[in-house]
Amino acid sequence: MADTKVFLSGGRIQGRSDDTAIGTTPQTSWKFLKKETLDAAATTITVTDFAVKDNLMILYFAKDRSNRLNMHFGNTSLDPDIDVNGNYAVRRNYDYTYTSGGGDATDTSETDGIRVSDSDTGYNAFGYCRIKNIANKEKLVTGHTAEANTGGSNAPHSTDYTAKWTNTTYPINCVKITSNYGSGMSSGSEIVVLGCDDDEADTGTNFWQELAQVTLTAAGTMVTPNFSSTTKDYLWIESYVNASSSGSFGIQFNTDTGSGVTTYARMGNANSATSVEIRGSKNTMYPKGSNANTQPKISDIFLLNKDGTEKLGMMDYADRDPTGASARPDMSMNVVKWASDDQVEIVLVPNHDASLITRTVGSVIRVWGGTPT
Amino acid sequence: MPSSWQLIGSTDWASGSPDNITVAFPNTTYKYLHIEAWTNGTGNQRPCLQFNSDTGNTDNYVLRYMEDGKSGGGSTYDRDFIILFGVSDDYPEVFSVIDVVNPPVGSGQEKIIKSWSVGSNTGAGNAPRREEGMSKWINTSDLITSVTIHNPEDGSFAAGSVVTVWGANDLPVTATDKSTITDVPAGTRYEEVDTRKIFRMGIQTNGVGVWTEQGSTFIADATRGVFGGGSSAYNVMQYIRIAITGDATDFGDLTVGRHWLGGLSSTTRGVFGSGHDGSSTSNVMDYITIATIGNATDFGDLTVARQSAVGVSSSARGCFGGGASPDSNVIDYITIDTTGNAADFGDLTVARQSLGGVSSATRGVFGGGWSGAFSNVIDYITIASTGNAVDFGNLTQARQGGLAGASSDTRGVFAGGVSSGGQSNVIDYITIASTGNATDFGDIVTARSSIAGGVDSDTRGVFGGGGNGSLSNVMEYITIDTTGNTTDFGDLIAAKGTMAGVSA
Repeated sequence: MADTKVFLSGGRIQGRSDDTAIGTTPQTSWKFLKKETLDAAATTITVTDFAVKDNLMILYFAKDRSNRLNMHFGNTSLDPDIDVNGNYAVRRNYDYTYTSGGGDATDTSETDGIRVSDSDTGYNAFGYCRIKNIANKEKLVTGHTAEANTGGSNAPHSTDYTAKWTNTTYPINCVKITSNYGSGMSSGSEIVVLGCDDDEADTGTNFWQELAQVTLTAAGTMVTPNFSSTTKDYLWIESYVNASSSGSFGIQFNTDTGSGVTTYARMGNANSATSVEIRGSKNTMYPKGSNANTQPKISDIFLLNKDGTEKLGMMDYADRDPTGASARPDMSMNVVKWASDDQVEIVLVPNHDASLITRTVGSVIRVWGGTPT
Repeated sequence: MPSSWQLIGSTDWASGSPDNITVAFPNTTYKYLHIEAWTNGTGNQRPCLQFNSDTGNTDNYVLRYMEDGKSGGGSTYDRDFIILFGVSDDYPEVFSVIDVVNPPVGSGQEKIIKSWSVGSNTGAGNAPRREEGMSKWINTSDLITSVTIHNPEDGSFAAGSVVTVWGANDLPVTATDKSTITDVPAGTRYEEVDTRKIFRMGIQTNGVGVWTEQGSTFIADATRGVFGGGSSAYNVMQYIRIAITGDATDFGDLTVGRHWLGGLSSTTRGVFGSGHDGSSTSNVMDYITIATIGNATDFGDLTVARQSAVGVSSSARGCFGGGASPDSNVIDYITIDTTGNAADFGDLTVARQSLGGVSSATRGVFGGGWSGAFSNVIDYITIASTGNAVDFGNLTQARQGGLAGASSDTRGVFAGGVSSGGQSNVIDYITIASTGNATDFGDIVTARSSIAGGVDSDTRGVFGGGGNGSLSNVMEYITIDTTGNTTDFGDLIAAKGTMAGVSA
């Protein structure tokens, strides 16, 4: 948007107090379908009878959950709605446990549903999954969960999972999260169901709305405008950055460069190595060591951005490696957190040590956000 | 309503061989793509990804992947496609979620792709399989305009397979909230025309720009103009508020007193360059922050020491053109907000001195001057590039002697000078974005030469000093986008000619 500015003679810019970014985007992507938010501690959260959509995106936030989380699906034509029979099969990986034979754990004919969070500690968990929701086909699920651990000095924990609900009669229109191996989840925990048909009609309002973006038309730093007035409970952040001189990659929020043990932490894995990188008390959230080079880098982040709780999410990252088809990209999957109760309102892409590097033309970052209402 | 993801398209598998399910969007490109592919099939089938129907005959894809939590992962190089799910080729149902950022054309960058896939296996008694990949399509010249899920195996996708693509892009924007404007220099002024509030851009220590209200309102236009130097190698700078008539006030001193100098401005900074210091021609450039009263600071050196050059500028780059002695065709340029020496830009169409200059955000235009004779030449440059000037047209009257320039973003005005008939009262104008001969604008009330221009807002141009038998302290102004004669503005601190002007 900033590239629409016009300098008048004397280098001035003029506008109006009520100027806003005006334009239209078809409302044809993920819509908010339904949510359930606990107003008191409970062991389950259930959302039933939401609109059937071809593609589902489910966000879940389990506050102070006492133990592992399990997800079940169902349909209002079933009795009961939620299927708690052995119709689930799961492949899951906790804290990037990669081994030569394959580090995943598996559950088959599972009555406990999909174990989406495997930690036995009592911290917040945030995750999301995507589902292809075809009535007469097994429902395939891919998802990720981050578990907060405590403060910026302790890395969060990770669960990656793929799963299926083998019902081939009904589409999913119910979902339940259970934390029944302890005292459950605190009030404020919630499930948010988003959906989009393959021919989604241009009606209503898309859930993910752009909050801020930067597109460099000249070399510069990657700092979004402040979006405090429009920030949301859930953020989706994508970036593509490059630098003409060796630079690394970090994500920083609200210009918080970190102090002591109260800032950023992550757990991640680079190139599916057996070693897991655990980093706490850092100045930014950064993947894959210092990753300093001149290669373009992409990142994709989903973040819980609720006020009054640590910010928790997943960050996937790749850098191009040398050009050409004979050089493979580097990959890194991470769970991340910003140990601040403040909501994110500025996103920066500095070096991993928080120094703002000059990025080259074409570098982009965009922040979408949504709050279910 | 802000921008969002939007559905680009969705394609169900019909039939064909080889199996390709394509979503094409040739008429619109998107900066961000999100793809979800669900395939089922019979026999061997392995969903793979291709872009823009590039079947990779020159091996344009490479992938790093990981399967089922296996250490080390794997790689495929020089492939015809990106394998989304390579765990096995006999899984009937595979669901893939793919994200791509589409680097802009001209960035010369390969596309990097992230993908997560799950393969069904069969029934609840078998765990699904998974594959995560980071891959790239090495094409650096095209934006992605189609996505294909391709099956290279001998089985076939089956009915019901579907590929859906969403995209996100910039909105068509008709107005800009100032909070979204952060990539402007510190000190840039934002004028809110309905409230008449003034904001200034400040860059915090963390590099983030913030607009801060200045606690004042602007009257029509708050642009400041500064005249610097002048006859007898004057070192004084004096300023006015262009929208408000009145006398000039002391601003500070140049680093070197000089006359016959040139001036140019960015959104915040004014640069004075060239001139004669009383003993020799000068390569000095010095600059001021126009919003801040004070002495000038050394900027760097011109490529050639000279006098009687003139400045033109965009908000980022400034060019000094022409000069003497001898008559010069030199154009050199600077990045205004970065100190340093000037670099060669190109040549004027005709070497000359004592010419006038006007500019838009795109073009700089040089008019008149002395090239061994009175010149009516107008030539122009595209400021953001480099290269020689190109013929624009002719002035209504050939003249030299420091024509005073003033410009809005659309119109340039040349005023005064000396013609073969003596001191000139002619004002003529051009439309900067076009080419052609100048048109009569009106008259300077008192014909004179060596007038300083370059002091202009988007609406008003002020001409200062000059002489016609004696030096003048007169300032006069015009409304640039109308026509007519000049109106008295006020008086300079001292009667001076051969000054230069800057404004912001």
